[in-house]
Amino acid sequence: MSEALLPDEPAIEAHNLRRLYWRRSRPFARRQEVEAVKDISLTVRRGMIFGMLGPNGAGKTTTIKMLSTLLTPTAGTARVAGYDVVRDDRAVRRSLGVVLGGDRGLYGKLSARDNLIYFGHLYGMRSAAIRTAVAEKLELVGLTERAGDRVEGYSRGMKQRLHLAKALLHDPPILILDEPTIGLDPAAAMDLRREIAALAPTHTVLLTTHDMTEADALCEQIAIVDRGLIVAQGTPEQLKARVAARRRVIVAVEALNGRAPAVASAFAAIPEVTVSGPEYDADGAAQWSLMCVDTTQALDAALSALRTQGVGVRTIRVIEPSLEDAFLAVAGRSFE
Amino acid sequence: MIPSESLQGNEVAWALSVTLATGRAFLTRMSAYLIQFVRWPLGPLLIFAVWRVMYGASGRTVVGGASLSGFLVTGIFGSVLLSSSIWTSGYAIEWERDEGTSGSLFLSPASRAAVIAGYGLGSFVWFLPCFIMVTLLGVATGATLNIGSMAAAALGALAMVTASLSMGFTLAGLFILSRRGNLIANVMQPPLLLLGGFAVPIARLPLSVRWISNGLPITHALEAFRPAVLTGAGLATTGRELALSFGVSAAYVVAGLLALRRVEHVARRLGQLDLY
Repeated sequence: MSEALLPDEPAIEAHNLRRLYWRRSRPFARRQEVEAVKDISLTVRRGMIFGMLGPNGAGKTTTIKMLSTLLTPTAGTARVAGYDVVRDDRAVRRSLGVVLGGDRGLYGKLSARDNLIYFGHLYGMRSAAIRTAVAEKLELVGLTERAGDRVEGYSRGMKQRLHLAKALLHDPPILILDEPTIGLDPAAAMDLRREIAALAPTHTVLLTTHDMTEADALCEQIAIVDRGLIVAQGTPEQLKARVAARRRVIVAVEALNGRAPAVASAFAAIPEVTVSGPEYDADGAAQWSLMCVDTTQALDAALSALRTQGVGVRTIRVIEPSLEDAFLAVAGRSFE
Repeated sequence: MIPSESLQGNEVAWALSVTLATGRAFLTRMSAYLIQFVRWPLGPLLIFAVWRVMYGASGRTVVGGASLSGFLVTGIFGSVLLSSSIWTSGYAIEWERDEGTSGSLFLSPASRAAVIAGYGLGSFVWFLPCFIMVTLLGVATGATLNIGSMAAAALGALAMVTASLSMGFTLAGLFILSRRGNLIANVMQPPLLLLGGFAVPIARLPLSVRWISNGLPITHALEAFRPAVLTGAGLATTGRELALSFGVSAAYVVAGLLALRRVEHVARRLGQLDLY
């Protein structure tokens, strides 16, 4: 596939993208302005999987629609494969494979094979190349045996895999995947994630998701998007490191026999630890949560305090900060 | 670099490949609905029967200088091609929207005009058996063919198809932008069936509406095709209407292509391009 990229040029670059919509609540009503994307700038290096993570309505899909030429930005510029998304829209489309979220985008009355053949023609492939590529991509996504069946009879997972095959058919250097695993059962989602992970580094992938685990597992770089803005960006580790103080040690203890206040005081005396608890489970067993930076130090101090009080330990769990914690920290609200 | 297995360096070959692939996909999709095998042939046959009975009630056996059945058979051809303009090539993008594939289509770099032409081509192939059945019914009810010049007849037929396709291009743009193609198509079809001269000779229409008829390429195509196949007229007789038909068709194609480009640009700006 042809590219206008210089050797060090990023695969995708966006500067200050903004997108307004105008909506009417009813005919003849005054138009209302909705700012779906306020100011998004991002750079996606070649060969990486880049994730845009955010809740529904954050502006992820609007951003990828602008990058894939379906939507004109209200302001800002973007280049994909070295081409401007407004001026060189056709060249951008040639360089892109796009999977739009949801159940649609395929011809239900055509078989998987006929769908791919048709899209091959739309992307300017010759018949011989289409035949070879269709067989290869169907094999890649595990649909060879059902290739002759009409797509309307496919499960959601099969359709998503076919979407991916369609996006890969013309061998584009860059792929944009909008919520690729949405609505899939866990096993199907895991299969699809494996296929997406295998795309790098031969392809550049920009994916949107609101699944923290997915972003964590797949992406080399993540931009956290909220209310039309990128509120944080970095590797999953960098983002989690921003909330390192949110590591938690959960200590569940044996019978307290009236020593709960003494244990709480001892825990509260541990330096650089925020204590919450005790909470009691259904059996009446108590547990404390110690939020800390240094888990080893906190754990040592907690065990020592329990020994001093003569309280036995039932279980200890260390919970590392998640991307959800990172989102909470940067967006100031929970993901949902 | 464009790889050798790609047609992207040859726009004409690419457009042709897209047109043929779209036509083929259209036929496969239509064939998936068994009712379509009954509906499309039956519809024109019923229209022919209704028109035949209505004229029969008036006692007329000759219309527009041709036998009643001959006049109506050619009129049915025109009306089917008009329906094809409105509901297939004109409605191509709406079909995609209904199917939920408009996003996929607009994400591709393929020529939108080639896709619309593919719908028109597919529709024409789909209707071929219907044309044959209507012709047989016409012959069975007294239509007589009198072809004096094969060139005039062939050019007349070509003008009909070209006119249908050109109107489809123009309507496609209108339908995308309005996002209400179905409603517009339903409103415009009945008057166009009358104004196209399919069931009533143009000369019998009120002068005040004839300018609309004259603005439709299919009207001129039919005015050339009818005498060429029913009364043995040659190119000398049909040449003027042929020229008008091709000229108006060309204007429709140019207007349609410009409108499509403009409409896609506007739809991208408004955020309507991939909406279902």
